[in-house]
Amino acid sequence: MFNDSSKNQRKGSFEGGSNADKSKMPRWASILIFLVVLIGGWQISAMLVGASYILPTPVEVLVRAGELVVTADFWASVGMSVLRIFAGFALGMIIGIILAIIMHSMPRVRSVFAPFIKIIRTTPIVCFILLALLWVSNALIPTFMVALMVMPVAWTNTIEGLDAASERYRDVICAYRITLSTALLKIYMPAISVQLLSAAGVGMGLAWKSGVTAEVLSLPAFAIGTNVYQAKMVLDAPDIFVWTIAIILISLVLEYVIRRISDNVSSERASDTAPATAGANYGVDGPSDGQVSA
Amino acid sequence: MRLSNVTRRYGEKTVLAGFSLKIPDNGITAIMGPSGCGKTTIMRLLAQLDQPDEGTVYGVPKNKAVLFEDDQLFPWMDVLGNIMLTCPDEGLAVRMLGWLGLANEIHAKLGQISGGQRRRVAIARALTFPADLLLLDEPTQRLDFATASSVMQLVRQAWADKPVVVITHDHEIAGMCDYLVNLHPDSNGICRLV
Repeated sequence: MFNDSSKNQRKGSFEGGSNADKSKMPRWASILIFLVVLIGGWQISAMLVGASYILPTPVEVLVRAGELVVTADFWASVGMSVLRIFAGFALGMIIGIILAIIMHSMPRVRSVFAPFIKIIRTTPIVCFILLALLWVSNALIPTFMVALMVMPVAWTNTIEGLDAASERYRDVICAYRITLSTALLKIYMPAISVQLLSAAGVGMGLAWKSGVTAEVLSLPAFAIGTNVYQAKMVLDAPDIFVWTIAIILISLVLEYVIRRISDNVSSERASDTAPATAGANYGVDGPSDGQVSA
Repeated sequence: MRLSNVTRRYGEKTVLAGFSLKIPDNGITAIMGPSGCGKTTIMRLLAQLDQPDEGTVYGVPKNKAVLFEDDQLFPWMDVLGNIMLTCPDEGLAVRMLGWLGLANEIHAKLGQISGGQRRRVAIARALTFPADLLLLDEPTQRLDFATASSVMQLVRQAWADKPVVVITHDHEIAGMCDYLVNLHPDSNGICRLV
């Protein structure tokens, strides 16, 4: 009974939403217009500049892309960059989450170390890369930098989520003497899953920007950033465009995957917490023909 | 179990001042009074979720089962999962849900059941937790009188030889209890025994 009326309500609101959306342009049309404007503007600009080593035409870039994507070096560079950036992303997320758990459970440690994380978050990445060039092997710098950029994002979202969940569930955890490990795994982690996925989405975007920047400055073997740097050294603008487009495409795909997962978890959580019928929270329960007490 | 000369303040507001109360070692004690008169504060002190600013709370057992006014259930778990987090006996959890009329909702998510059903899930969690004191804050809210009466009978059967404290506004529910504590705020809003 509850599910049916819930579905009807949802259907009603969905139909209302689609009526409101009728005035909006279809998504495919807006993407098509965006691409036409982008490529048209690019073509006109390239024709006006008239020098492919400064601004190549879209056709030149497409031809160069066709030449590059069939080479083993291209895929080795893409694969190694993805691997480095993913490793740094995972490392940053894990360290951020662990530090947040430690600092959440130890307020004194938090008051001492929280400013350090805020300093890391506000310091420009180039400063860290230049220092890392003195301390760490070049091959490790991109992974290290990505971890350093992702960690504060994961820390902030995790600790804010833990603070909110702790405020919400402190009494029940205390009253029922739920152990810390059970509370962490079965209450806190599910409670902050939406914040964690949000951190993953933001962190992934940051990871790509900081990872490729670190590759450009540290020049490890088989890396997108190294290829961008080498193309710039020989004024090979079409190559720079191809690598940049590759970075954008990979970043878009990864952000899309994370957003889909995040949306699924968020909508599942919303349906978990929503009452089955409108006003069910305030309704009186019992047999349908029962007497409601005064 | 006893509250002795207990004072509890929240910022500028004093809720209890030199308040004393003895809770019998078995049977159901109802604590009644208007909203804001300090009933939940007394429950929180007995549950040891809160400490008095002055005075002492004596004789509270270590293990307490608490029914919170706002349920405090976990929406990402199903009905049985919410009970099994604190109940070591799955058979008892399933039987209790059956007694409370939730046999068909055992594997339902909380978003799929009504507010009154959620209240009964919270009651089931409290009744299945192995404890020596049961504290129920407004146990029959969102329940009709027939269901509320059944719940009170179940409480009496399941906790026959242990102390139970029920916070309620409902005179009929209070009438089903063994002892009654009536509270009323004085002119300064401080909780007094009537």
